[in-house]
Amino acid sequence: MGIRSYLAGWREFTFARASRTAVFDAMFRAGIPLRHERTRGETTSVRIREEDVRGASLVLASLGIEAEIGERHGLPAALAFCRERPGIPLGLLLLAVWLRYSGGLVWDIRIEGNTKTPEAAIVSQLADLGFGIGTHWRETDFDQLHADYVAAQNDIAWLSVYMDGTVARVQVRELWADGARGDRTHTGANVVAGECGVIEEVNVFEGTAAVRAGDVIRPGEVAISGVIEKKDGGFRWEYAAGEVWASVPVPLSVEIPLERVERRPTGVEKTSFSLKIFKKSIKLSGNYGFDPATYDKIDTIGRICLPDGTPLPVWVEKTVWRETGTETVTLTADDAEAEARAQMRQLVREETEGGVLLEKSFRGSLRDGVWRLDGLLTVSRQIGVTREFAVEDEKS
Amino acid sequence: MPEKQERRRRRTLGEALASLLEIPPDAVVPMTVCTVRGRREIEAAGCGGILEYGPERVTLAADGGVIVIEGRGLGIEDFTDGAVLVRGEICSVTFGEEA
Repeated sequence: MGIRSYLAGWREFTFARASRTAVFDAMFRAGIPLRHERTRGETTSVRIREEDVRGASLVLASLGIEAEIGERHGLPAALAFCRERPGIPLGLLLLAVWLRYSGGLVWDIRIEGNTKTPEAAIVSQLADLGFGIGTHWRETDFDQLHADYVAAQNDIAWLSVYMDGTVARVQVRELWADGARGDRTHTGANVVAGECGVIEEVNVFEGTAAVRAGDVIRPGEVAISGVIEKKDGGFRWEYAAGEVWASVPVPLSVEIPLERVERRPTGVEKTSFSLKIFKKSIKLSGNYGFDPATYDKIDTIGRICLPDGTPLPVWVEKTVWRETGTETVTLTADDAEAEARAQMRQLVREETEGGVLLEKSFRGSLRDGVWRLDGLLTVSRQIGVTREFAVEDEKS
Repeated sequence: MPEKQERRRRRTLGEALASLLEIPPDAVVPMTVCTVRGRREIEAAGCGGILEYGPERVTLAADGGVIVIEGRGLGIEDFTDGAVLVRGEICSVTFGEEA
């Protein structure tokens, strides 16, 4: 059945197969089209458009042929169905309105190009500027947003936000690793030592090395110079860049008292849930107002995703209020030592991140009710820091 | 002059005029035009009625005679504006005199 027939509606006529010739001839002469002829046993059925049903009935009656007329099909039948069930078209209309409305909201933010700036920081900064999940992006001036973002912080040199459907794609270019903005027109720089150590290796990208392997360097001393002496006696400036690797002594110390006052859970807990859709938060359970001095608050936020992993702008937040009380805790010497060593291991991990641990030595002692663990590490790491300077005139 | 002879005379004059003007005769004289597409479909425009309809034989009233379509699995798919569309495995199309 064509679109026109569907829009007009149609019915099925069933008559005796022996009358087929007479029926087709009469309908042909009357200009009533028949379609979808089906023969089942001794009966034949055809489809007639709703507008021709009355005429066809009269034609068949004039021939004395009995025909069974079926129910109405097509758009008129669908409309009648909806009239009896108004909730269905109303629901479809609300769905269309919701799709139209929600299509103008930001459902998700995806960030590309950041290596050292956390995504959460970028998202938080955008939120401070009024752009985030749930924002009406059609009303957003993206050019102004880009300018405001770059002006409001010092980590990102360039930012672009564009909409891909309902997903905001954020592309960033970060500032150089040492924080310099890169305008070298009237600015020079030296690479100086950030801490003391023994030079192991100097990798010069720009400038001239001022130290060699084996030299002892103190904080602030120049390792790569941006001041270059010319052959004619004058000097010119450059923006020095490079890496300065040195072995650095790192003293560490941890103290664990055998007796201390701690806050410990009493075992009393209360839990509340809330649902967050776009920017709206809906409390699902009771509102508990607790004193933060005696209660710990643990928030757990989970984002709802579709089965294929696509995130929705819906979060479920679970807040656990855990009552705490103060308690005097006494440790044994062994317990205090174990705790001190655990803390020391954590400090060692932090100090050796990005570098190589060359040597380590530890010494522990118990004195005056305090377990003290001292350590000395030798770590090989990059200690160069860019220090800019303004250039006024070329001096000879 | 009998009606049949009158119709034949007009048809012959009309066809002669069409030939003189070098245009298709059905543009001048109302007549049944059959269009056969392969061996699966035949459209007959300008029919007068359906005289016989069966899966192996369909007889249409044409201008000045009948058109007998024989084959297997024949079915009248559509008829609009006086044109009948017959589909199926067509074996023969025969033009005959009206009874």
